[in-house]
Amino acid sequence: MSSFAYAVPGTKDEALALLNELGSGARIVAGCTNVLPDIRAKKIAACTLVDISKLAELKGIDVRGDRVIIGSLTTINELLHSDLVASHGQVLWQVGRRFADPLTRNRATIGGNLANASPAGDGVVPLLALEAKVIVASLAAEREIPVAEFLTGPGRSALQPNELIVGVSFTKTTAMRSVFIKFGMRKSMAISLASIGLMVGLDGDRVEQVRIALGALAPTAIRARQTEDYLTGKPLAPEVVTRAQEIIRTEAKPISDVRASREYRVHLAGVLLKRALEAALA
Amino acid sequence: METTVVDEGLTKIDACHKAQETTIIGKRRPKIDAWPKAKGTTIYADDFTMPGMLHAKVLRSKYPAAMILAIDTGKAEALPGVHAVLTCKDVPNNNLRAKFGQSTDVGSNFEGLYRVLAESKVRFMGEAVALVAAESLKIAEEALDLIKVDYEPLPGVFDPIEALKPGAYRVGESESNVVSRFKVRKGDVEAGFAAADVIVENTYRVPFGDHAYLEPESGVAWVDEDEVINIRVSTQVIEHFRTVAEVVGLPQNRIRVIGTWLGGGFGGKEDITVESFLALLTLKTGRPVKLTYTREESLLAHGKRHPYIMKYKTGATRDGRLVALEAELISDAGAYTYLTPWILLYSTVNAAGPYNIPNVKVDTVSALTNNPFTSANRGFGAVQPNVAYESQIDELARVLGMGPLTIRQKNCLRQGDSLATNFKFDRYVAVAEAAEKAWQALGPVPESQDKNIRIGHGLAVGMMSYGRLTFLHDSSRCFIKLELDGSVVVRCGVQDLGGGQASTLCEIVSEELGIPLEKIKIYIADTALTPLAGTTTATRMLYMSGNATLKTARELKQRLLTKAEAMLGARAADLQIANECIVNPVDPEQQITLKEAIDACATDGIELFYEGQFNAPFTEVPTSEIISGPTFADFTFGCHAVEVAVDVDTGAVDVRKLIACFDVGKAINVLNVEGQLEGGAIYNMGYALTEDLIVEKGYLKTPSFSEYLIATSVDVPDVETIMIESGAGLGPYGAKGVGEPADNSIAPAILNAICDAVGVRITTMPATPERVFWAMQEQQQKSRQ
Ligand SMILES: Cc1cc2nc3c(=O)[nH]c(=O)nc-3n(C[C@H](O)[C@H](O)[C@H](O)COP(=O)(O)OP(=O)(O)OC[C@H]3O[C@@H](n4cnc5c(N)ncnc54)[C@H](O)[C@@H]3O)c2cc1C
Repeated sequence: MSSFAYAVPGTKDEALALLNELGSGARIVAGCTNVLPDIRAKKIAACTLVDISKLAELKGIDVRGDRVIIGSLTTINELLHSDLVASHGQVLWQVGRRFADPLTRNRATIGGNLANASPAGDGVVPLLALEAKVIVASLAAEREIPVAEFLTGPGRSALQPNELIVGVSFTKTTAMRSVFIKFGMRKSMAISLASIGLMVGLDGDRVEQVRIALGALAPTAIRARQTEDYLTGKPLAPEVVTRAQEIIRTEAKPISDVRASREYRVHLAGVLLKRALEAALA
Repeated sequence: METTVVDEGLTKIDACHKAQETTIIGKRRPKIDAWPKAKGTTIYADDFTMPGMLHAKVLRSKYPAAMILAIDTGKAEALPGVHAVLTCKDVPNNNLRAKFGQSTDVGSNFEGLYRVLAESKVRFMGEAVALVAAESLKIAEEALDLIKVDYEPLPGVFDPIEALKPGAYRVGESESNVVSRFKVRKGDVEAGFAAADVIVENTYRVPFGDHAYLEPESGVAWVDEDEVINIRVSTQVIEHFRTVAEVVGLPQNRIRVIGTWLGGGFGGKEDITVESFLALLTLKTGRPVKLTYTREESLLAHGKRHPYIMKYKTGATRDGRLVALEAELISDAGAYTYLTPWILLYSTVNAAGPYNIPNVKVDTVSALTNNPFTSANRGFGAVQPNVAYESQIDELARVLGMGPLTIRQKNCLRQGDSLATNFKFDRYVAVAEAAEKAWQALGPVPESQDKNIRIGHGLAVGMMSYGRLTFLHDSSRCFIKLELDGSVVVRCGVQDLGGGQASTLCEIVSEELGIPLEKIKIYIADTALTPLAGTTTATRMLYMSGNATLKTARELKQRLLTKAEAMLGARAADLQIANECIVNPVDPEQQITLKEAIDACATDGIELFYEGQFNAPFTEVPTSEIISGPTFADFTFGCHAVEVAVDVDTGAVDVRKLIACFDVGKAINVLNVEGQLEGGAIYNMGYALTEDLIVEKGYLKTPSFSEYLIATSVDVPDVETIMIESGAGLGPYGAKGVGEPADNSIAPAILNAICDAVGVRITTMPATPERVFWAMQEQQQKSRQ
């Protein structure tokens, strides 16, 4: 096991100063549910672990105007028990029960899920559908990055070594129906083979607006823009859904790995879309 | 071959026991070790520490096949805090013809090479190359990084079929890649198939399986004041002390193995794990040493369940009678022999299943490859052919338009019938009864409430021996001593895996001597202090040590009754022993306390202790490839019936109902037997659906529990257990063994249910959603054509 230094900044500014000083020699630690397995698997080598888990400034769920702001240290379990999230960010709330197990949900943070940038990350998919913005701070400035731009590749993000995720924000979305579906190899403690976050505004069965985010189906979580365009303005008739499934299967660009083949994942994209649309209609 | 019948006495006593009511046996009670485990006070192997203890790590090969050109340990040795770095040249006896914990001589066909540390040629990825002991785990890990090994990668061979071809890469130095071959011949299969109206042919593939016990391999060793090497270790076989003695070059009486309560074994701790490493390191350093594998290391380094390729051809007449079965089984032994020959022999005997088939031809072979080595895993070679023969019979039923229960009832073995190996069952055979009870309990197939879900029912029966191969001449011992205050000490070298092995012995003593469980103290698993009871493997512990304990307890009981006879002026035969009293039930006036009897015995110099031995039936070691005659003492029969829901869009399979019905002979402790039946079913539910240790060209692609998927609590249905208590077992009170048989037949039951639900036959396990989905796609394409 490599040697690690450990630092516990008391304030956000202290943390940012540390990151500034250490650059890529620092590694932020929140709930540690990715970091610790990565250390064990020797994917993280000697560095200074900057433990941000005590920073009150990164906690809490708030509403400011028409925006919901979620501190980066908010755990999945806190999301699950938040009325604000349940009513204004349904699709994110639905992830809660499908995420890991209760033990892990108590530690895993939404900021960690974003920074980890796994293509299969369950937290990022609904945030993509919510068109959320990642609030990122450095000593010099704070900036907001749309999630779609934040995710740049498998395990890669727009986050700079001297930056910290402070939180995420999104616009309240009470009018749209939300569905999150995750398909894994077992009912709990499963890494998504494919997942979908759907938000749809319906007039009867006609789609007024729709946002579709896919997980584990491309190098990052993605929006299925062509499928969205196709569906917009159309009634959710069987032939429309079938066509939409065909389109989403061309948008999915998954990999083959030990868990599933590319072809199967592509197929799943269509299945999840159909089921999400059905659930939204129900 | 001749079978000797042993312990006539026991069966006789059993007959008179049946007339009596039991007070402990057959009841539901928590095991003696249940509360400490629930409260977290049980001390497991890794919980022990000692003053001055060093921490060990193992350097493992990065390649599945390579020559070791050089090992440079200089830098590692120079690291402050490192006390020893050992390679093969530091091992007094690095290469042993191992009998794998067996004390009788069974000849070269059932032995294999046990190599402590890799020597010149590496055979699998993860093979131990060097050992380090250091002041801390961290230093030991750093030292591993400093050991420089020069490898020259070799091509290797990773498929047993390839390995068997002439000119194939040689896994070992000189030995051929063929580990063993066996055959069964009965009747004339050609003629049999000619007489068949339907023939079903399929090739089945079952994967490597890990045991996935909660507790990885672990132990602490030290040299004591008498220069005895003590090894406190999580093991199913304390008798590996003999192998360790040979490795370090010391007499056997200088090695003491103390077994801890196990956090699971399932066969994975049947082979030696950390013992030799610890002995070498503690000898070298003079300090206590601890070695615990990480989960990843455990997945990499211990033996796996053998993958098999099984070609089956089964024929039946129009009315559903089986007329011929031909099977060819190829097993992947991985890099070293270990228990492969024994497991292959189990598969050979089990290949045709519990059916009457007039014509049978079975050929089995096992080959070395550069894959992880394979060895014991709950079910020990019975499980793999069970997947095949139970899928085959289901397919026949389908073709014939017959119900799964009917076809089994038509063909299954009954008392008086024989296996294809000519082993005759003169005791009750419960296959038909178990199948009927389980199938009935499942009830009718419910209507699906979801358009994407199809529901199906599946049935599979199974058989598996309990007790070891009879040519191993198995025996077990137990010592019991009555203390003067009426409490009892039991000493028995049984290893307790969590299956109630120790508790059951206490229950037998309690029943026989009328002494409450709280007053019984058992000492287990210590080669220096407890009489050796053999391995906790082969579903033998209750059968073997249970009988040894029963015999011992009854000897002491007889002594007490004889004393009471004199004291009460009653006939011993009229007296009963219960609730710490000896009483004549007909004349309750005639009564003394047990303590009074014990006092009187003590005063008169009557020995209040006894050590009894139980011997299993003995047969000769098979000398021919053709297996015939008795190879096991007896079998346990059972059945699983399941309801699955299959998602037609994704292929995902959900097991909704699970019924396990077994003839357990007699349940010593009902709660414990239910636990075994539930655990067994769930264990191999994973084998059927999610557990797949993927090895590509020798490299492990599922290195952790995030890839090797075992069921979680929400994936598991309630298991309904149905017990048949025929009393037909050879164990105490007519009990049979259930530990391993309990995981048989669940996998094919699930495959059969999938077929019932969506009409596809999965022949490659596990039946992952993806496999089921593509099979459905293929089927649809076929039906369109
Ligand atoms: C048993 C188990 C089950 C799991 N199941 C799931 C699952 O179902 N779905 C799923 O999506 N994930 C799952 N995960 C992965 C993991 O739990 C999530 O990715 C989680 O959200 C990570 O959060 P964390 O706080 O633990 O992150 P950490 O491990 O603390 O950090 C993860 C990464 O994010 C960085 N980081 C953390 N916080 C910040 C911040 N505020 N600013 C900048 N960088 C930061 C860290 O430097 C690190 O690179 C599972 C993990 C485990 C161990």
